[in-house]
Amino acid sequence: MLIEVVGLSKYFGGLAALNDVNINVKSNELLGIIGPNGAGKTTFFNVLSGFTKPNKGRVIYSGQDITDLRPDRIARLGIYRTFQRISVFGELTVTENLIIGGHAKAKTKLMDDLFYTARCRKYESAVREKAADIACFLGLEKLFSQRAGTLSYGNQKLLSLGVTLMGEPNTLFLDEPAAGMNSAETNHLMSLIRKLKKDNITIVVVEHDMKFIMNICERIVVLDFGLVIAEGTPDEISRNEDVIRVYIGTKGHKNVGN
Amino acid sequence: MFVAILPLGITNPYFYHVVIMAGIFAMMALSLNLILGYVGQFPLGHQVFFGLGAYTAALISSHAGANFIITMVSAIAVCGLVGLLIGLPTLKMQGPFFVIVSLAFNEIFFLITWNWMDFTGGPDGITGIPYPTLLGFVLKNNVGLYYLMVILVALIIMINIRIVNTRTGRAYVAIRENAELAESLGINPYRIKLQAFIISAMFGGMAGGFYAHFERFVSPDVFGFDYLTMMLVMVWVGGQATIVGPIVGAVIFTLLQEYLHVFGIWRWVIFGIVLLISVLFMPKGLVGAAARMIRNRMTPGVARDAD
Repeated sequence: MLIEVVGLSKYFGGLAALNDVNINVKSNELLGIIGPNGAGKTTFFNVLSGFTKPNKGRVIYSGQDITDLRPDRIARLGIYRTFQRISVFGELTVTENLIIGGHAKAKTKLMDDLFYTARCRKYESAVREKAADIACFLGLEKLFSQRAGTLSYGNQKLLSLGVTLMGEPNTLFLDEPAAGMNSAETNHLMSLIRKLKKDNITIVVVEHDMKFIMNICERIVVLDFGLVIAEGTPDEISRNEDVIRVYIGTKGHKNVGN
Repeated sequence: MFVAILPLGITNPYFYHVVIMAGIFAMMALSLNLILGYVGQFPLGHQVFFGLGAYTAALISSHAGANFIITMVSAIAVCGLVGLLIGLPTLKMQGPFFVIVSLAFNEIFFLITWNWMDFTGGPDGITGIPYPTLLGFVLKNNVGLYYLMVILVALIIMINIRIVNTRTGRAYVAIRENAELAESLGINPYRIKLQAFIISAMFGGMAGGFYAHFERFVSPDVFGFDYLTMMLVMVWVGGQATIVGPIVGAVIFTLLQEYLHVFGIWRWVIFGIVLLISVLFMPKGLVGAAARMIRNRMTPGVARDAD
């Protein structure tokens, strides 16, 4: 197991956002997490990426307990996340956004930068090259010097994925990556995610777009009120009666709502 | 080039005083700009580093007779250390602690210099601070002091350029723009803020140390709130988060201050109005406005962003 989530609970006041959640993620798996609004999906991501500390339970990442690590330490282990809302540096250009994404991979220190050492020069040119590669991968190469805030919603979402790729992640948590995208953009995103999986990246994705989830995920976990109510392949999940009751019943709201 | 040959043929001591003060203000403005403009943290008592640098240089040179290099290095080191002391407990916390604690430190050092008569001379300050000496030469003439100022300002500019064009400075901007996102990308906001603040404090110490040797006199006034106001006006009017901006701001401010002397205390009202106009109509300062004008000129007919 790459990630073992053991007995994770998180309460906000009296409300259990996560209630004794146990989820395992295999290496190079593409796992989907679904559930109605307020089911605890984002809280789950926040705990796994270190932004929220759980009341109970542990998160083990390839044998290492990462529950109490700060977000930046977790990123440095190669675990990157995107955010549900738009998360790019809006005032900075696409290039600058991508270059910042590579921050944790650099070995240059303050002194390298101050004295413009060979290591600094090498890194600065390498990171620009890498940013150009990632932009091409995303299909954003024409927007290289645009301010990120001026990009379309879908392109900003793509860029935020690209920013995490600059850190050469081995695990990616994507929080509603397709929200707000049109169907062409969603298809493009699906093909990108499949390519990332081929590059041996483990991907956990939260998404409301059922077509998206059913299409790309190998396994799906369903959360409801902080509880895992079902787990299985897309086929099994679409036939599961509990899921149909709590989830499909409110599906109409889902697709419009977020 | 212009800066290098500027002093040739000019002997008016008043001119030198104004230009060298502009240089000192530029150092202070660049100091505040690094932490306020690039990292987005506002130390309300930032003048503490100017005062502390000035007093450190004054005390070490007059009590221990140390030479200029040693007093400057001490001034910079003391400021870096105090920056660490202020930042270490407060930059980790959410809320206004950093802002308030930096102000508190400023008041503490003001009170110490005001009351510790035997050591600091109290309200009378310290007089007779020696002129800077470099390589055995005593720089007591205006041209020498001018070039020394140019060297120090150039040093700070160079450090600034190195920082903002590399990974170090990009982390500063990332934290200013979106600390949570920066954190998710492996940037430790606490460490980066602390680093930037210490460097910024050291710049302030450099400005203060040079000021002490240049004026040859320091009094508790160096901890005055006026200095913070000045730095703010320079950074905001010139253009924050740029390197040219605070320098332009410092030059304009120094000239205004000299020419508006006839208005006495009312010049502060005029500064207030200048600041207000600048913030309202040029949110990115003179440099930002100029950059936008040039961009618009170069791409006629294209609607540019209205930032």
